[in-house]
Amino acid sequence: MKKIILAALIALVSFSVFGNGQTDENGGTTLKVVYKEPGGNEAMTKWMTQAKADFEALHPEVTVELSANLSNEADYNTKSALMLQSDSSIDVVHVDSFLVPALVSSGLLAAIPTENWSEYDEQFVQGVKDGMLMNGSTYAISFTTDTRGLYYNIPVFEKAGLPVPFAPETWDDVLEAVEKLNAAGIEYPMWLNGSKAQGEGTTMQTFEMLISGTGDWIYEDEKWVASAPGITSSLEFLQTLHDMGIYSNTELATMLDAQSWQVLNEKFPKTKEVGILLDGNWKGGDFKGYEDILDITPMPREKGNGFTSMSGGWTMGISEMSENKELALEFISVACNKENILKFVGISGDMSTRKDVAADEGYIADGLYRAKMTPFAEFTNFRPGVDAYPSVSIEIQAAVESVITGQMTAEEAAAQYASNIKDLVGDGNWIEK
Amino acid sequence: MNNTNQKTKIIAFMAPAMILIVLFYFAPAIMAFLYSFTDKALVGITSKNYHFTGIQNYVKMFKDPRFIESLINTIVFLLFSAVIGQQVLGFILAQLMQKQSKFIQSIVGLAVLLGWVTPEVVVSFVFFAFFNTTGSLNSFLGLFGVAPKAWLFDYAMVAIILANIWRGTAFSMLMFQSALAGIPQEAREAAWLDGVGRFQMLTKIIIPIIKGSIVTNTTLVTLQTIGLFGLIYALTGGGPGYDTTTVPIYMYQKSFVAYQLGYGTAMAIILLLFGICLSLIYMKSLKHEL
Repeated sequence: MKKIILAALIALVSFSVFGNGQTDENGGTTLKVVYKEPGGNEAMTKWMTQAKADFEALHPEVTVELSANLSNEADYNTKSALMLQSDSSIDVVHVDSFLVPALVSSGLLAAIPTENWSEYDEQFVQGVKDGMLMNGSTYAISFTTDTRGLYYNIPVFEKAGLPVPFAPETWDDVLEAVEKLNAAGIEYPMWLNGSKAQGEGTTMQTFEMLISGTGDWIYEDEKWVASAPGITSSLEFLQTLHDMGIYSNTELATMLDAQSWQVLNEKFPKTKEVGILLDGNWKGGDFKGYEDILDITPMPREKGNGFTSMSGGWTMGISEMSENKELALEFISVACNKENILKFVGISGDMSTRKDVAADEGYIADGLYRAKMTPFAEFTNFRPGVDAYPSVSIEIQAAVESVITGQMTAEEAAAQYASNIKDLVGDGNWIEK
Repeated sequence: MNNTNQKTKIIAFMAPAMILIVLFYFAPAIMAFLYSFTDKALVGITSKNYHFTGIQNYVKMFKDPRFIESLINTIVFLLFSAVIGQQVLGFILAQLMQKQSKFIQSIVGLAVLLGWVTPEVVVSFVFFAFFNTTGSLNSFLGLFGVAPKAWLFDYAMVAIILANIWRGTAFSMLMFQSALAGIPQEAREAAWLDGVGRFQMLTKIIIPIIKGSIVTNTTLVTLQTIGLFGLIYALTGGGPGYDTTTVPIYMYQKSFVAYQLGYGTAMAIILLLFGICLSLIYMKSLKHEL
């Protein structure tokens, strides 16, 4: 008798260890949706909850399980990549657009048969559709996009005797304004992301906004650019800011902190201690109600001849391990219909990828900065959709941080960047210009 | 009850724990060891089709100036915050509290223990609020007309060392309290009668007697500190630059931000070996006279 009980106990323990909880309590199908909820206005959760209700009304036999991840961008990217490798219960997953190619090449995302979804073809902007196309198949549906530019503070400019509207045509125009703002005693003549702690923001909002305005780029002809005049001159722009002495160490510590955006939301529109801000259109959401104080202008190219911008955005993909791929696509199409997207971007302040939403009067009236920054898409650039990008991005952040804090000169940082990139991507995968 | 029956019983009762340990400790450890010889990435082509690359990760590591820097930072942090900071302060507190009344002992004990029971991340926020440019330290110094300083920028290593001393001293204090309580009163009295001074009492009588506790404590605080992640990550994120990037922070960056799992696990193995080596050195020193 004792032996039987013992055997049963062992069996029970092993089951609880090895068994996986795939069975459905109600016998119906469960569709699991994983997304990032950054907190704050909870726009994402509100949107997903609405989509769940709409979808369940259409499919009473299906239960949508929402899995919100309250984390920062880098942690969410890591977490979702790990989950896609191990958790077969996930059907739909939100993915940062730059990560899509890497997830596709690891076989974690399924090809999406968009031909069954007529609205996708008709209503989604061609540029973002092309970006999610790999080997002839679509792997993710872009639901937001973004652009970046120069915000500036009108009263601060007037105080420094600078003309408004501010319309710089070269980097020198920007630097000249910074110098005058500094001379007028403005605490932060130019605010930007510049540390590893600020992650991808440093790479995309700062470095790539600069280098994309030179003749060079970080990835050309399927090779990483280890060194180029544009890399050095982008870092020199930052060195100029440092050498002007516009930031004290206290100010640098404040500006380069990962949570500095909260301080910025005080210092830029309210206490007027910041002159120029290099950032994305979503910041416009924080600046609602300050349209008379803050304005936006596109980032000029280094030597003139037009402007530059960077774009990214968020997408929804379907897990390769999902057993409900058709339902998953249907869920995406419900979540991304005009009505739901309109409501979502109304709260989040994001830029829509749907033509009918972008043309909506309420959408235009609701976000002045967003409306002004939408045309930046004409001269925008995208990050290279290559596996090694996240690692290269860290090298960029390290270079930017070392220059803006004065630990290295632009040339030293460029030389170190070159040697690190060569080590990182390996022979045959880099070029020097 | 016969012998076989007894054995079955032992196995049966140990089985759940053993299964869990093997599954969640040994298996991942072995996997990590194996991955450290590959180019496995978290995402991308090499996440599925990774290759055996021999000791390439280890060679790369010792050529990587940032790894060397992070190793030096780890040693500095370990030495000043744990081996010296926590232990010396813990010992002084334990020694001073010996002759005090129960009331003072419990008040001081409670104050020191608060740091120990507070979760790591909360400690980080407390110290962030203290050292921040608009934090309480600058506000206090401002009363005397001192201009605000960027403590977490200019003195980042000092800040994380102080935070770790504050957090971890209680552990050493408790260890030394019990060790000091174990010193026979006769030994002190005899030394006293022989006219031994205070300093000699410490170096010739007390320390040799509690030598075993010191080594055990050094080993424990070393192992606790060497892998410390949350406190540093939340307080400075390893910055500015790489000034407070210790091996665990760098390992995290490489594995989970740059997605180079193979390289990250190789660092984990080196960190593990480093911890084992230090422990062995401490143990060896126990056999020698202090």
